[in-house]
Amino acid sequence: MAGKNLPSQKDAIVAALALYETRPFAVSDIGSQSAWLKGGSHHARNLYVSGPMGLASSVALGLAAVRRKEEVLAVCGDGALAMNLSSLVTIAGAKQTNLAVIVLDNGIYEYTASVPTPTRDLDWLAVGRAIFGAGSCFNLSDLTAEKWKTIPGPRMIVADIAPSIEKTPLLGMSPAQIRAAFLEASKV
Amino acid sequence: MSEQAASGEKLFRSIAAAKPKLVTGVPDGMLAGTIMLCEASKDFPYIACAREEECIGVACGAAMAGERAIVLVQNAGLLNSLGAFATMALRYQLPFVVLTTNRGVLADPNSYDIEKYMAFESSVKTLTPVFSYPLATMPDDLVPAAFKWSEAARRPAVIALEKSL
Repeated sequence: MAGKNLPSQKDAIVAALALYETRPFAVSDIGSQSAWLKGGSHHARNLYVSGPMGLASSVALGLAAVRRKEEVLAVCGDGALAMNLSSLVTIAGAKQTNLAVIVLDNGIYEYTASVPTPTRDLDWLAVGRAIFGAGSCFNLSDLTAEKWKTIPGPRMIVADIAPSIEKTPLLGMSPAQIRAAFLEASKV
Repeated sequence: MSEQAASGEKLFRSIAAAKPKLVTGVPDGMLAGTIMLCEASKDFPYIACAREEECIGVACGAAMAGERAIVLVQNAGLLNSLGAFATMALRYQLPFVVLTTNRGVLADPNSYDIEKYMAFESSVKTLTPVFSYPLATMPDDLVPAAFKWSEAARRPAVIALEKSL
């Protein structure tokens, strides 16, 4: 990915959220995804998963299943999603149309001394298209809000991002704070 | 109706009585009948996961929104999921119900299940309370009672369903 003019993780998250007409619930993986989601677009509808690595896509599926009238975006790192790759198969099987997954691919575990991920050479677009279909998985750079509305769910976005040159911010919220805020924001 | 089918239907009725917003799981022979009934239910979705750890995540997502969720897995599946169980379900103090079949007990001596039972006894039970019942004679109100405990304790209720002599 070196040499490409790639967005930062924060900018890619903000761009993905901007595809929606109304703010979706956003469920982010532990580490840099939660940190940059909070840094770029802190919102009561964000659910920061600060414990397990790779579980955001599954947590997002559970949320989407009980909030069927709302849109849910799972914000996943490439290393995190590789740890829970089978969740993509589960989401496709569940036909959870109000759920989308964005994989933020920088080829490293940014929060863990930038150790390379085993998926650094993986074609995430091909993976997403194999699982969700060619019409439901796109590169972030090819999407507009108009196009996003027409894509059938469940959907997947692939975003190649640059390794961060900024220090990843701390989340600064306890699990109890995250839970209480999200419970209030997700009430029907 | 066979004893296994009757047990599966009884467990399903107890699940339905708790009015969950979703049920998720990975099959086990002792749970198969219940899972088929959950799949067919119009009252709640059943989310079939590829791996048990996903089930914990799915249940946590529902619980984060304040909704009731139930996980159906074998003891080996819960063992696969202990990282997620500890770092998500316990860390966030999330109430939901895990119905796990405790394979390898005295009345269930398949050679390939013995180590699952031993690992379950030595790990899960040191992490969180486990309430054990024979599947065939479990109380009708087991799942609603498990939710009441879980919501009061602010942690998952783990129910171990077993074969009996």
